[in-house]
Amino acid sequence: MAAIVKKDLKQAKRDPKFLGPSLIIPLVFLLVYTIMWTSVGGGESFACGLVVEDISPEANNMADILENMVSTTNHTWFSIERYDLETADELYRNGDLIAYILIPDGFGENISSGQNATAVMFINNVNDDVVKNYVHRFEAAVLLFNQGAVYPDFDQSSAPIAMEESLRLTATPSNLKYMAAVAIILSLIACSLASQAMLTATEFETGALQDTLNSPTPRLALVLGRTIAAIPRSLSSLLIVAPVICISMNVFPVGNLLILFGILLLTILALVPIGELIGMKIRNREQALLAAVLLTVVGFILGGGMAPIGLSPFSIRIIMLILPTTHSLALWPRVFFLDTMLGLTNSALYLLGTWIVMSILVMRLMKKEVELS
Amino acid sequence: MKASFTKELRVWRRNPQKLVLVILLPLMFFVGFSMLMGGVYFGSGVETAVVLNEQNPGVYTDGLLEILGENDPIPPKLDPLMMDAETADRLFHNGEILLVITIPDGFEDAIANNESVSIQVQVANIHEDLTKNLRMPVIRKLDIFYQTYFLNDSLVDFEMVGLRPFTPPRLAYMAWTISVYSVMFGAIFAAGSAMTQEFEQETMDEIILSNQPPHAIYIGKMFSGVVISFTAVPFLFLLSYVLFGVWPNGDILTFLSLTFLLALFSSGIGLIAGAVFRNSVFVVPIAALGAIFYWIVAGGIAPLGLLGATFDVVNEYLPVSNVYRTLIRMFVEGTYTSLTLDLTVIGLFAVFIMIISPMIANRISQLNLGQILEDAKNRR
Repeated sequence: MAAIVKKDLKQAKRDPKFLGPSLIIPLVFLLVYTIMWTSVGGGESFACGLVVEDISPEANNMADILENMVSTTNHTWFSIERYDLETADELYRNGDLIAYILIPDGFGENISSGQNATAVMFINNVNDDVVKNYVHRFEAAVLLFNQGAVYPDFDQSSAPIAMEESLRLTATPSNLKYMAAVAIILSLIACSLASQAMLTATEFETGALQDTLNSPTPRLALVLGRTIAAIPRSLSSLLIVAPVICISMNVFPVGNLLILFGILLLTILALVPIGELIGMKIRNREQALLAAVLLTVVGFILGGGMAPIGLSPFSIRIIMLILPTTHSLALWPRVFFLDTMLGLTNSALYLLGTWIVMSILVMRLMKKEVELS
Repeated sequence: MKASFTKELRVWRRNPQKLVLVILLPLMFFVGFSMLMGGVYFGSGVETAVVLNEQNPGVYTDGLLEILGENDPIPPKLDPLMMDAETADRLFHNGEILLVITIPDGFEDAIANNESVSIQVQVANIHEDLTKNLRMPVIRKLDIFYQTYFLNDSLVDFEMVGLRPFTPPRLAYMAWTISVYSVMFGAIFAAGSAMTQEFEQETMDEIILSNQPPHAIYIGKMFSGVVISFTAVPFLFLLSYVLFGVWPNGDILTFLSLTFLLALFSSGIGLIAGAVFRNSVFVVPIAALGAIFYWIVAGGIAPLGLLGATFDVVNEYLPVSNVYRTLIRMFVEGTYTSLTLDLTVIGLFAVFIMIISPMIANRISQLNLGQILEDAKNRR
């Protein structure tokens, strides 16, 4: 077994190309997100026009709420630009402004006379997500006004029904910080899967695997040896990725480092036999790599890398939970942003179970391969 | 050129697994997003623990509970699950439920007597976007409650006017934009792979030393990339139609003319990438992620109008964004306001890259990069 570990590590040292996907994938993902979110002030402020045709204090209060209400990361919900009606409408119809809000003339007078006043949002309904994001923000402003919670205090104490919110984390991570944290484990996922898939496929191409399989080494020792060698190999990608991400994005783990290491270890154990399966089934380096990248990207998206799976319907969540990446991505940000041990057991056990089941599968495949050869 | 083109297509025909992967990546990408975001737009809704501490529920409590569970045209819908405070707290802290709404004891009396009362909302603020998607529906439900039960306090309401009568579903929109992504990815990967296989199988010199002009060989490889790049598109459109029942607007000729030029441009990039990296290990992630990069920054995931003017102006000067701009407008609105300009921009870039990329690829192919690095090391 020690010889197998030594051989695999020597091979990794001689051909460090396996690091390619694990460096490129997370860093490109992060670059894309950084460009997207930093250009829009944290990703929370949506560009919106505002036309105020009324000069009453009520209209001013409404406009102040729209311009100043903030998200939990202290970004304003709207990045408001004021226009006259003609300009706003022209920009809107040309596609340069996705939405504008009109506070019409007579808005304040209606309120002071006890009648209903209506503010109007004109929206380029490109898709229902855009509509959702704008309408929700606008509706929040309307509710605040009706609660009497106006700028600057947004005090709801005299509202018939107030909303008292409590958040699980003391500070809500911005989308960018969350993405930076998960990019670290994405690198590990890519490295574990791609390096093992490539190694096995290369050994098939060169015929080295058949020689190893036909040697008197027990198959269990072979699988364990290859898995043990995969641990430092997979972690090696983090030596570059983790410091680069943590320092450049100014995001550092809050949770226990030992638990975080345990999550990394479990992820490697669960994914390495899957990489081995890919390599054994495909037997071609390029195609094995493509399959590993595909599984990494899909596993990352489906597993909740971009948005936690909590919003998915239960029936779909069951399918997502089959993927080991879902469990890694559930555990990692949880401990990264909070010093907790709650809610970790199920996913940890699932990853451990995946390792055992997949290793058995690999051993069976190896047996089949020996019989065939 | 024809010989090189035919040879590359033959290589693809002999490797159906590789072709399947080219089709599968964008499809899985689309299915992945659909499954992930499906809960916001479809299905039973976001599971929400509702703790009812009110001992004497009446018209207001029942009204609020009814509104919380009502179907809503603005996603996400909430799926209220009644439970006791202890269970809700345990599930919330274990991360099994992300939103808890508690209606306090005395809620009914307070409203009936015109007194102020608070409902408690616990949100798993995993990140800002999720927090927003959990908080906002509660705010909306509360606003609806205000507009229904507190007519004297709800002096302001709002109305929404859409630019067009039909709002396309978000996920269908994504399928249409992923079709452009799949063209880019397919072209970069196929052309890059055509180059790397020559290096990996050490056949580059044989090809260069054959009687064919190198430029024609490279152009043949580029065009094979163009053909391969279109393989996933019909599957994507079909799957999106099956799932969401909507076809994109516009005509196929405009789609083909823009994406053909985009594929040509991307093939040129793939050719250069293949010559530089000479190894599929790098070409695969570069193709997949380079295309994802452009898909996101060109408005594939969300329209650029959301991001404000600065981003839009910068993006205007990137050739691929022009293709996305016109295609998104065509898919969604069926209009072609920027077609001439965008066709010209991508056309110029495609012709330029078609001329220059074979020259660059040929030049790089002749360099022994390993030897150069070794020499540099020795000199040092």
